Amino acid sequence: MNGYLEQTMRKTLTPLLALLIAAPALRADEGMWTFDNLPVAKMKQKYGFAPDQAWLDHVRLSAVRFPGGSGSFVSADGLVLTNHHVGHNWIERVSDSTHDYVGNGFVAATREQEIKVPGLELNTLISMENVTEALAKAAPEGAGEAAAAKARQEALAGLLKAARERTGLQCEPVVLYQGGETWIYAYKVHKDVRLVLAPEYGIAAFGKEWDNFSWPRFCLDFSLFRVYEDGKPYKPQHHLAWAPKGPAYGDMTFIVGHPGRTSRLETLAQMEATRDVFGPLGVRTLDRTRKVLHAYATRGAEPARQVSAMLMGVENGYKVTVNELVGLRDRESMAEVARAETELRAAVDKDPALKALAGSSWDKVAAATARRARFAKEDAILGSLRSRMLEFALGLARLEAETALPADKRASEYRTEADITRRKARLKGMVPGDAVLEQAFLESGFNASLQDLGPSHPLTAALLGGKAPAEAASLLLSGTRLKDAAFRASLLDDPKALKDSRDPMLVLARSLAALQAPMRAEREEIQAVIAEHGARIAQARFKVRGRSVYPDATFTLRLSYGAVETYPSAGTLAPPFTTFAGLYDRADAWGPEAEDHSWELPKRWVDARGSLDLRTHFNFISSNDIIGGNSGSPVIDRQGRLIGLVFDGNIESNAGRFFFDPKVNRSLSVDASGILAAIDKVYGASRLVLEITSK
Amino acid sequence: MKNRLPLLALAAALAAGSALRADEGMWTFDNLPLQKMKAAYGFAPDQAWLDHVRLSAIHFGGGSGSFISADGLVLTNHHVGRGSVQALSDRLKKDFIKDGFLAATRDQELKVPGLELRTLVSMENVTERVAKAVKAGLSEAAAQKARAEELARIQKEVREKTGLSPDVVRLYQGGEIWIYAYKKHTDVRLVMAPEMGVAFFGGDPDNFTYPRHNLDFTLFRVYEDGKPYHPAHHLTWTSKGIKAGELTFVVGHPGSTERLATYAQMINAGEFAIPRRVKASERMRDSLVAYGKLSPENRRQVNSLIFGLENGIKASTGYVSGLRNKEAMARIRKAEEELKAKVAADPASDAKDSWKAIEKALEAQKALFEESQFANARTGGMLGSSLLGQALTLVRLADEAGLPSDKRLEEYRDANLENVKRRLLTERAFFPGLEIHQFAFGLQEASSGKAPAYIKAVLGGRTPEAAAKAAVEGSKLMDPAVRKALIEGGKAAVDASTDPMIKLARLIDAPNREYRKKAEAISAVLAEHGSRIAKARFKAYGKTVYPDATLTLRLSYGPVAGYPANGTLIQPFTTFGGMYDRAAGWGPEAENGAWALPKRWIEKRSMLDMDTPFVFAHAVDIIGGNSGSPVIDTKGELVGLIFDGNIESLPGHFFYDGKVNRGISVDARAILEAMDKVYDAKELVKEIRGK
Repeated sequence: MNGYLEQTMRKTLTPLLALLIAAPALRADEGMWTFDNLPVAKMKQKYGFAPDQAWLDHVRLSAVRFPGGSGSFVSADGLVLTNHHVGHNWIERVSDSTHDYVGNGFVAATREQEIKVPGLELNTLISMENVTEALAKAAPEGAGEAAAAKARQEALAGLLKAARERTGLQCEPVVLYQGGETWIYAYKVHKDVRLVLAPEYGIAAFGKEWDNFSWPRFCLDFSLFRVYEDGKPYKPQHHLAWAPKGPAYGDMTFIVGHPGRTSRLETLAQMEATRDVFGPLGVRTLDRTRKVLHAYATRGAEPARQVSAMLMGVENGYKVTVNELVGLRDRESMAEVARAETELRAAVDKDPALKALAGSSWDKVAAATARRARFAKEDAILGSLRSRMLEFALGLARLEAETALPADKRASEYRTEADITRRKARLKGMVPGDAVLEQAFLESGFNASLQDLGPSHPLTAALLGGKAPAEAASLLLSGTRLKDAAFRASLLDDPKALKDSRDPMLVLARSLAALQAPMRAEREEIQAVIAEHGARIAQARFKVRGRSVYPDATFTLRLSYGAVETYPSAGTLAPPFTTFAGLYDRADAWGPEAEDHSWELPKRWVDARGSLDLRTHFNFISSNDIIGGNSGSPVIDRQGRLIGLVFDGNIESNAGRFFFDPKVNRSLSVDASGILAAIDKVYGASRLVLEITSK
Repeated sequence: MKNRLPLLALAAALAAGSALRADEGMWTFDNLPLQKMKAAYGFAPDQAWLDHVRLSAIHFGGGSGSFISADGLVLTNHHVGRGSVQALSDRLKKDFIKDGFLAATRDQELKVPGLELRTLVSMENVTERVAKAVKAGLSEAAAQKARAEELARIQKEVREKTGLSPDVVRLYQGGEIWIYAYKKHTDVRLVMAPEMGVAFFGGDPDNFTYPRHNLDFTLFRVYEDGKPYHPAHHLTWTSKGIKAGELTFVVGHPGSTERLATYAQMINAGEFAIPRRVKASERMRDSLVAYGKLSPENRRQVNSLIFGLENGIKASTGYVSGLRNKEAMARIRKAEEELKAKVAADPASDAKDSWKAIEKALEAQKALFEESQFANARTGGMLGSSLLGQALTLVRLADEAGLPSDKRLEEYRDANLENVKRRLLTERAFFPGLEIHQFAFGLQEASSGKAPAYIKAVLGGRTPEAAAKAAVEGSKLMDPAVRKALIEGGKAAVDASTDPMIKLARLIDAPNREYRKKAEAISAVLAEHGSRIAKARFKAYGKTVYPDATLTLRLSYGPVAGYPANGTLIQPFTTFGGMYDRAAGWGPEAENGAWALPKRWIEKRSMLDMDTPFVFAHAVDIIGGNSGSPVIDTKGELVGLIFDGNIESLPGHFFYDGKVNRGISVDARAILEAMDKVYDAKELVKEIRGK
């Protein structure tokens, strides 16, 4: 329990209620709320319940931040629950050639067998301090913009240092409302974290990429770690009690975790540009890339293995982009975005100070976005040239061009000696891909340029030199010596060798760099306008709406609320729960071979079938507003108990980057009772069952 | 105003030979794409196979079925047999719909009154013979008469020669005329029906969707001379079932498609006509829902009305999503351009201006919709009121009777008069509160926007509610005896009537006739030019394409296959495990018990093999009317039973999209496992297995 939070809460609670009532624009269950500012009245009105301070402190102090994800303490002995896909890298890290804990799973039969994970650090949010006013006071009256910024920066550094010294905790600045508020969040850091249990990848990600983002699902996407201190299990002050049963249909659900990033404050013009220009181009580019990779993968088992991780990433990106577009094309939702924007602009126009600040900002963002869209195609083509050799050559050409300039004329990331060393090191680490794949990527990119920009466009001309795509690509690849590691090293280390080199790949890279230079300057200019006026709009919005709205996601602790609730999908209503019976249904229906073993059950699960109660709830959906980063968040009931574990959103939730659509946006969670049954019946880890369920 | 036009152009579209998509088509048995099948699947059926499945197939009212035992056992869907099961329940004061039915012995099989099944025994192409009957130089009307007489002659010959009942079948919008001769079966008995709860598991929400878990089958038996009938052919039940990727055939009776509609007609349907109908249905549903909230009795009165509307809305939404599929529409447009080019190059074609004529007619139709609110306010009656509908019929019956038959509105001509009177005299459930509510809603709809003068006259300055209340409460027309007296009293009686509904009917009679005249003129243009395009298409492409569905026997083919939807790949099969998953995932109470299992299925759970394949999806081109069709493997054995299509199959009314359009079938293995383990129907299982 700490003073800052208490203070804040006391100060804001009363005015907050008034604000909430005045903010009708927020939709049901929308919002990733900070702990100092929860829509208590709204919750109460809809669900007849709102958590009290003790409840909030309890769940906050039980929550854990993983690198890139979330988790929670679930026992008095420091047991931590998160997703398998959050723990995946770490499970891989403690595996070796004879122990494939990702593929085969891992169960520590005793505490001694728990495996320390090198490098894994977990954080618990202990306190939050609002330093907005202190920073505002830091800038002397009448100081210029630059001087004021500097003063604020110094003041923040001072506050951070003081907080660190006072608390002994890791303190981080958190900027909310695009600068409307600045906070210092203080975390307890746990550095001795050990792997306790991981199910097999085949059950954790049952349905693989196919089922990713979809519902109904059947994923045992959890893993267990334990925090140690001084070589002994850590005793957290707070941990979540495991509810004896998961939620029932209609039950209220809370999710406490770390949503990573949202773009909900983008203007309508930006969203429309994404919908009409950038998004479709992105889909096109990703589609070209996945076609190249799929074609390559069909060449054999080894090529398939080489590109499997890349393919997974590309497929995931493709699915996300396609479905963000589906959301942006929803007329009703976009009308809502437009309505909210019109309302805000009207409020800004009414207030002279706000008008001076942001009155013209929407138009400026729109104009800059339109300018940006003009070379979106060129950007997309360059993005689709995934040849590693060309990437290397481009990096080299850029390095060559920047270092030819005096330091103060260079781009900011090339100014110091350290910058240059870092660049070179990165280039040194780049290894050319398989020749067939290099050829395929170049050919695909060249074709794209020919199709999308036409033969006479300078970019196409530079890429093809008047030849056909296949020919141009194979000429480049047969002519270049960049395959040779020694040659690459000589170019990096010897400026003269670089200057004299007429390697065809480097020649192409130089001409691309020359073509890009003016575009780069313009892009930076545009980016600056968008950043500046985006921030002004955010400030204006904060002035008008204040804390009646929630800030965009910042990978810091938030609470969202909702209920187990169906949604219309594929012509029917989506079932609120799946069960183990459904898991076996899907496995039986597809068989183990289909779609590269996407729905194949691990052996343990085939063997345990008879011992499981197939009616046990396995996964469920709820109407909470979440986003990437929330993975591994606990789902909590009114009593503050753990009833589930967030692991994904449905396909419709992809639009959540831009807006929350309560009709169809759903969180996907593993049911707490499903996890417990699996630990007990499939993994035979009764010691963990006892630990988790002990009062 | 749903026009049953012979709509043509699209086949043209599809037609372009090469444009036919994988596994597309509802093919007639005389014209199967055998080469294409062979090329795609390394298999094409031979004549013996085809005769066998055709003679095993059954025309089951609006659906399909098949013989599955040497003793005349017939398999169809529960939802095809439901009317019969309901009729028997009513007669015997039982609830076989809810509780299911199983005849433990043959003596217990229940004869279904009035049920008639048919088997297609022979098909004869009489196109040329009919053409020859028309002597050169005859007028169009005389030619028409000559053709009709020749057809009647042929039918008579067939009837006398074979004892079969011959139907005239017009394929390719009249491009071919066939005589299909059927054997009729009139002694049909109910053998077994599962509970509605498992036959229609998932209820209305799951209707038209997949993955599904429905034991949607019923068994009947055909008798002849009081004994089980021994059909010459019946389908053998599979011993091994079907696997993903394996070829299936569907033999049944697809009811109606409009794949020949022009591009303009499809755009009109997708952007205007259907969305407009959906909006009207949604308003009406909301109004009924509000009425239903007033009391449980109110809710009971409107339950099935709401279901009907919901179903229609869902189907329409499916159509619209298909008609907005850019890729499919581009294909249709391209094929249409191709046909147009052929027509332009053919000096003899009379279809050159037909596309334009159709576009113009559609514009006129739109304008008419805007000008008249009649179409907004239909619910079987007039302006939402069944009494007003009956009143209008009474008024017109009296007036029209005074005219010579051929001058009357069509439904009042001599041949149809008895039907009109019978309908008027039928006794129907009548709920005054609902009638007032519906009428008020209809008046509200009709008077929103620019209310036409006659609507203002009907309202007479009152609110819709007040006007509706006065008319319904003042009327006696809900009493069949009152209607009978008015029919018998003729024009004098109707003219003398002071019933408020009769008075209102007089106000709307003339404007309604005017509207109808305009609408019929538009329909005539659409029909005429539609048939010209069809003729042109048949001339250009002949029988390389299949004809639109005509509720006659067809064959479709394609493999068991999943499809991309909902962000993933949808599983090709479901299992019993999936049904128990849904039941446990929803619980028995949710959505009016849509996923509640019948008691027997809860109790027998542990007896069942959970991994038994239950329902599968396959890439076959089917449509309403195919319900109950047998699904057959390359060996000619029965592997499944069609009962629905997925939501993506709805646009199949207009075009076939092989990527996502799927037929949904009950797996033969699930039917047998259920009969054996859940229903304990050992004798039937033995009979079906042929052992």
